[in-house]
Amino acid sequence: MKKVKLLSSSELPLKNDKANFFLEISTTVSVFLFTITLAAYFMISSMINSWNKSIIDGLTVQIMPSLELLDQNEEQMRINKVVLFFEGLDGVEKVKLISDRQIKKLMAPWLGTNANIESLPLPKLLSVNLQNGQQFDYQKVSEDLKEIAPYASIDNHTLWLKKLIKSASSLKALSLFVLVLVLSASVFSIFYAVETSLKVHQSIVEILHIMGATDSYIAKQYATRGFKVAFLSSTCGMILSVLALFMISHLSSGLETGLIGAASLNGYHWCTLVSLPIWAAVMSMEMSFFCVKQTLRKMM
Amino acid sequence: METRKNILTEPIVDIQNVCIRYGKDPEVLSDIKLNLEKGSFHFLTGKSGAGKTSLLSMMYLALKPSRGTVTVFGTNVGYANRDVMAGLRRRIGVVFQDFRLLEHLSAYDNVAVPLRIRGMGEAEIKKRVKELLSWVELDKSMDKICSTLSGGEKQRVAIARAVINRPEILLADEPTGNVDNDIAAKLMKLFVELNKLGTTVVIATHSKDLIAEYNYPQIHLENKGLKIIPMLRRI
Repeated sequence: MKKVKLLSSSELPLKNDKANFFLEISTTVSVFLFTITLAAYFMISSMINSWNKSIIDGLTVQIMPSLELLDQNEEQMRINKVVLFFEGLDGVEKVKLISDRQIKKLMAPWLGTNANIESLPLPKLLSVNLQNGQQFDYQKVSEDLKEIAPYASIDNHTLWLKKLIKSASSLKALSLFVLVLVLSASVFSIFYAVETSLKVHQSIVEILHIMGATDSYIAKQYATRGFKVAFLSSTCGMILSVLALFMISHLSSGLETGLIGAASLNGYHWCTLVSLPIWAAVMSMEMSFFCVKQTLRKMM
Repeated sequence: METRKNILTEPIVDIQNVCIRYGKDPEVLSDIKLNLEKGSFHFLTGKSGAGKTSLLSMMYLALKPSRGTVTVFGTNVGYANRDVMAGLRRRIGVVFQDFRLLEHLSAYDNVAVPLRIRGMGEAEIKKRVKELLSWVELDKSMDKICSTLSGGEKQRVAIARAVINRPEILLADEPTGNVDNDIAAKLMKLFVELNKLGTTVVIATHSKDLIAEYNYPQIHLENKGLKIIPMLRRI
């Protein structure tokens, strides 16, 4: 006698359901868009944080080169005068001279990597780190600095960084809006697929009801299907989006500047992006369950 | 020990002043009253279109009456929620005239469905289903997909599915219509045995031979109404 197959996966023939293809495509596309948008959201957030930090944490001081020819000692004395001035101020944590090598790196996008910057009359730069939460009176410090070292000036980047932060915040809000749109489209797709499938299998659902199946019993079969389809499709969508992110990162590496460099993804961000298929599968499972119960109430 | 006399005093289906109509069509059944006692056995008779299938549908809780009250196992179904209705349906076995099997599943899986709905373990399901399918002489076809079975085989699968759960009420619409005499006799024996164990049985049939042979009371539908024809007195 032939061996009887003991475990039936589902009384409803959902495996060969035509709605599956629609669900697979829509989930792949949705997760692709969602991952890219979420990555953009994370990058914009880290950029804003980094800019905010630089506003709070410090300022840059420019020491203009002298018009007269000075020897190295005299040049160093001019710099030390400014360093001592800032070290004497309340709330200053650290004052550091930015090296020529770093300046060369900063100028590289404009001058190229082979430029001989020592021969150029470039200003020296001081990076001044402030203690956390320290309020700083830029106006007064600028005036005091002008008195003791008129060749030095504070580069107060707060104003233009604030403008950048405002623009980036708008982009962040836009990306949130796109995330909500993609999520809504996914929910709609699940609803549509479940409703269509229930109409197709209405006669089987009726028989199951007559045999005493609860709405939850039927909904569980759809929830299982929803989980499987969503997990596989969203994994595809996630892999495609990660590839796209690497490609974008590779293409933009040539354009990188100090500002855009702050737009990066940390370990937590990557974990969130990679875990999206699990979230999508759980959401699809829960939504399918809910939709079946709602639709059955209306249908029968 | 519960005696047969005691079993027969407990109402299991109570239909009061019920009318059935579909949409705006005229009533199929009008103002009917029926009280089925636990452990009773009835034939449901009447001409085609008399409302036999509608009355059965109402008894297996797939059709709500347009008017009147239906009480099954002491629960007024008009006020029962969906989960309570599902619980009531699990206590009822139904054999459809057109079988209504799940065509994409095997005979085994079809018969196992009511037990899986009840949440029974697969080992117990295997034991019960194999035993019953052997009894209806389908042990060699149990892994065949239902769409490949003959009419008679499908009918036996449908009957096995209806009785596998040991239902308290068995409602069957022409259950012996597509099988040969030997199998028909065997299936009727199964219904009689279930009835002896306390199952309330209602069989819709056109077969006068069957009614004469088994001599149970009839629920006869005529002119939108219902009358009970008692058992014939055997000479």
